Order: sequence, then C-alpha cells, then structure tokens
Amino acid sequence: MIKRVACFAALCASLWSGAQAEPGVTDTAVLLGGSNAMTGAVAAVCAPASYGAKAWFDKVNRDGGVHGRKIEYNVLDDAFSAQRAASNARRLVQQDGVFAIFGGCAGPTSAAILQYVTGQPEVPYLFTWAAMNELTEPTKKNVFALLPNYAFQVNAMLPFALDRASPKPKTAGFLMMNVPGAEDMRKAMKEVLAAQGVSLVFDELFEVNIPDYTPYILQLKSKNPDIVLFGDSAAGAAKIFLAMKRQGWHPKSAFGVATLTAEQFLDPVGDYPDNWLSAAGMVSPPSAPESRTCNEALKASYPDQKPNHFTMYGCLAAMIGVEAMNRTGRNLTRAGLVATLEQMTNFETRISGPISFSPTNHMGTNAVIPFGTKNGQFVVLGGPLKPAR
Amino acid sequence: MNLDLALSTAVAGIVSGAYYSLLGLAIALIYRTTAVANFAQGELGTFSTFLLVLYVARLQLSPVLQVLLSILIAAGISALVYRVLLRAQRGGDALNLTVRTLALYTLVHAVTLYLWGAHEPYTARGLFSAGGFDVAGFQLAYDQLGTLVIAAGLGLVLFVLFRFTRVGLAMRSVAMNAEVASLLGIDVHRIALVVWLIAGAIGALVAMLIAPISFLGTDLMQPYILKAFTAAVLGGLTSFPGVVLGGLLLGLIESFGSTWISIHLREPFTFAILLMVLLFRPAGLFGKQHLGRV
Repeated sequence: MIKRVACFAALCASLWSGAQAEPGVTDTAVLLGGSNAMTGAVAAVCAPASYGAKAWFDKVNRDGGVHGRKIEYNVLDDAFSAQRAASNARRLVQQDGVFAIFGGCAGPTSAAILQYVTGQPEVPYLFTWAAMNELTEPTKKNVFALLPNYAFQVNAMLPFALDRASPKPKTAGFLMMNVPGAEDMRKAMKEVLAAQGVSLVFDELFEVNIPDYTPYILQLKSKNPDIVLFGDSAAGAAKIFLAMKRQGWHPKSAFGVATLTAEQFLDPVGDYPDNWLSAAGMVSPPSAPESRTCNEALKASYPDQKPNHFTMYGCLAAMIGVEAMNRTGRNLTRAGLVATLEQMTNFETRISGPISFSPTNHMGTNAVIPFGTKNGQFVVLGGPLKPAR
Repeated sequence: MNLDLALSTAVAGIVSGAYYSLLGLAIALIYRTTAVANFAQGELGTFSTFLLVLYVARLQLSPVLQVLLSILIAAGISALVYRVLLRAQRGGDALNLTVRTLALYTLVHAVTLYLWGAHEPYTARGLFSAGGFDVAGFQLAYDQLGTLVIAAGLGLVLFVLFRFTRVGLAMRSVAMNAEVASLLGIDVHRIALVVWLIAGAIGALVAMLIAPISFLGTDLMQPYILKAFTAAVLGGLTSFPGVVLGGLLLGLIESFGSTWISIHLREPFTFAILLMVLLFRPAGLFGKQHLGRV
C-alpha cells in the first residue's frame, strides 16, 4: 500500500513538474521572440538589429548551443506601429509561449511592448534598441536595456563635443524628433549648456517622419547657432544633413545621438559631416578589428546584409543574452536568467564598454564611445565617456 | 525676416508648390474627363519610382533615359488601371469609381510594402547634383532649380497640348462636357485613356523628383497627395491654370506661414485653407460655378 502511494506521489510530482516547465524552454531548444520594424519607415535602420542578433544565435547554435539547447529566435514585424508591436508581444507570450522577448528597435514600439510586459513581470524583456528612461527608471524586475537614454548620451557626450569645437561655441540649437525621451534630452541639454555658458537660440521638436525639413533648416540658418544638437532616426538625420547641404549652411559643429553613428545616416551624406560632427556611439563600428567575429557571423547567416551599427548592436545584445543563459546553467528559468543578469559585472564583449547590471540598475552600459567622421567613414575619437554627474 | 531667409523661404515654397501643382493637375485632368478623384495617383508614382530605383537603374542607360523609361512604364501602368479597373467595369456612378481608386491606393501600397518594404528607405539617385549656388546672397540648390525648370517645361508642354493640338482640344471638350463631346464624334474613352496616360506620367515624374531629397519609402507620396487635392480644390477643379496657381499659392502660404508664424502650423494651415475654400468658394479661387436650368 505504501509503495502504491509512493508511486502515485512520484507520478503526481512528475506531472506537476511537467506542468511547471518553463515557457519556451525544451530539452533541445530555447525560444526567444521579438518584435521589430522589418518593414516600414524605419525598417532599413531597425531590421539589421534583428539580423545581427539572429546571426550570432546561429553561430552559437553551430557551436553547440546553450547547454545543448539551440536558440530559436522568432521576430514578428511591427512595421514601426506601436499597436502592432503590443499585439506582437501579446502573441509571443500568450500564443507562442516564448521564454523572453528579445531585442527590438525604436522608441514608440518599445514603449508599447514595455507597457505590455509591465503587466507580465515574469517575462524578461531584453535589450531593445531604444533610448528611453522608462525602460530602466524605475527599475523593473524583468526589463534590461543597453542603449543609454538620450539624457545620458547628452551628459556624457555634449561636454566632449563642446570642447572639441574650435572656437568654443557660444550659441546652440536643438532639433529633435518628438519621441519618448526627447523632453529628458532637452532638459539635460539645457543643463549642460547653462553650465558651459552657451546660450540656446533655437529649440524645436518635430513630429516623426516629416517629409521636408527645409523650414527647420531655414530657421536654423537664420539663427546660425555655433553648435546644433540633432536627434532623429538615422534616415531622418540624413535628410536633415542633406537639407543643410541644399541650403548651403551647416553649424560649425554638431552633436548627434546614437542614431548618427549608424551607416544608414552616413552612407547618404558621405563626407559632408567630416570634422564637425560628434556623435554618441555605444558599440564599435563594423570596420573596427574587434567587430570581425560579429561580421563573420552576419556573413554566414545573411550574406547580403552589410554590417552596420545596428547589426553590431544586435550582435552585442545576442552576446550578452547568450552569456546570461550560459551562466544561468542547464536549469534555465526566467527567474534564473533575471538573477544571473543582475549579477553580471564588467562583462567584456570587446565591441562595447564593459557591461554591468545589478538589482537596482538594469542599464548595462555606463559610457558612450565618441564617434566622428573622416573621409565619409566613422572614426572613434577617444575612449569611452561617462557623464560628469 | 531678412532678405536671404525670405528668398529661401519663397523658393522652398515655390518648389513645394510645383509638386502640388503638377500632382493637382494630374488629379484635375482625370477628374474632369472621367469624373474620378484618383486617390491612387501618388501610390502609382511611388510604385514607378521603386521600379526606377531597383530595376531600371540597373540598365546601362543614362540617368535621364532611365527616368524617361520609368515614366513611360508609369504611364502604361496608369492606362492599364483605367482599362481594367474603370472602363471595363464602368457600370457605377462617380462615387463608385472614386472608391475603386481608394481600394487601388490600398492595394498598390500593400504590394509596394510587401515587395520592397523590408529595406526602405532607399537612396534614390537624383537627376541633379547635390549642393547649389549663390544667387544674390541666398543659396539655390540644383535640385530646386531643376524642379522649377522641369515643372515650367511640363506646364508649357501641357499648355501647347491643350491649346494647339487636336487631342488637347478633344480633352478640353471631354472635360467640359463628355456627353456633348461624344455626340460631336469624339471618342471619349480614347481621350480618357490618354488622360490617364498623361496623369500617370506626371505622377511618376513628381515622385522621381521628390525621392532623391526625401529618400524612397513606401510612404513617399502620402504627404503630397493630400496637398495636391488641396491645390486642385483651391485652384478650382474646372480650371487647369487655376490648379497650377492653387498649388503654387499653397506652397508659398505653408512655407511663409511656417517661417513667420510657426513651423508646427504647416499642416494645419493647409487643411484650414482647404476647409475655408470648400466653405466659402466651393468652385475654388479660379474655378467657375456651374449654373444649371431648373
């Protein structure tokens, strides 16, 4: 009788443990999901982030996977629509049963997913390419980010851009698309400029995807600030620079957010910003020697995709994700992954500064890399920069 | 506002106005001859520009020939649309036909997105060099000058066509009264086909002028098509010169309005003007009110 009860209990325990299996994790695979603009206005910029990540996962899979499990990465297209991004996140979690939502790109869509995962605190949401305070402030147990927010980029990089400009700028302009985080950037910018005695003579936010920047450039030209702070998508920023070229005017120096370290910005504008643009980078340019492994992985999976900032970012995110899953061990759980990430300190990826998280800090990057351009190519202007405050 | 800024603002407004005028002219042509408000005009232009950038540009032809070939293809597509979508199944009123163009707009956009959306926006090579030159202290970009020359040249060609050719006269007759034109022996369907050809070519030309400065995306013409309708209504759909003036006026108003008053009022300006014209001058600033016997 005791034997029978014991057998029954063992059977129940085994069934219970089966019922409690971690979503998206099987003996042979771990399923990650993502939502990204694979088509639409920002696809050329954002989609490569998913290709870069997928290529790295493919490389890891070729090398045996993570503790014997292959990584499957299912990216749904949101076409830069916040509504579709939210619905993709819901589908990935509720229908596809992914282990984590991984990657993604752009503020509006990331904000929509963030809103969804805030109500699903057990689902990790990892490393979307969006410079939003809301991702990590306040800290959310399941959300981790890598791209420093706009305010951080300004605090770290603007003093460098002001020092680099010669003669030192006395007046400044601010032209930024109206996305989550723009107001924080504006506030940080005003504080840095005030501290450096630079007066702001032009200050405009514009709506996303405007077709013609000419009115803004004409007004900027009439104010003629010494330095201008630009914040737009890579393609949008390229349009701004081409509009300046058409009007035969550019400021003596310019500061750009991380999108201006993307090839999708630089390719159309060529050598035009040489010597007067400084931008806040967060991952090595593809031309750097340390980027070779990412480039090779990309070539193996997507031979037609040219390496760029976003493929590098995708690669970086995937590297950190794989490292975290490896450190979590064979018993891969969502809670275990979060705990592992929170203990990750000074992880060297070689293509970025050291990555560290803690229970109270889910922003992995604590510095930006100063980028400039020379002969139409990105160059790194110096070592990583941290905010003074 | 200093003179440099005023001149730059005026040129920017006239260039935008030229786009609106040309597109508005294409819309008015079709509307006057087939009673259809063609909402797909812009999307057809976008589609043709994708063909140019991704396929025709690979041919060993000069950039000008590539553009001309693409415009011919666009004209052919537009004529095909008329034959298949409007003429073959005519049996509907003007609203029915207009709704068909709305459906076509959605269809062409979806197909463009499906085929080429994954890698947009694309860099389109312009017909004109980058940069510009100084005129009386202000900068005139080569593409601005080129756009103005092309728009003026096209306007002249259309003027000659309407005024001095038999087909132009027939088009004007059909535009005035298709039924009477038909009774006078004019093949109204043939004229409508020619009009769709011309409108398709104009739409493609405008898209190909805009793409190099705005980058080529699936939404390339969306901001422009509503402005073109506004220009057409502003000028009066019954008057082709009125449409051209309406477009130029709209471009100048939004350019100076955004510089003098507020950049953020550029779009509201446009549609406030459209509403006011529809309220107080339904026939447009230059159109004639039709009076009928009762």
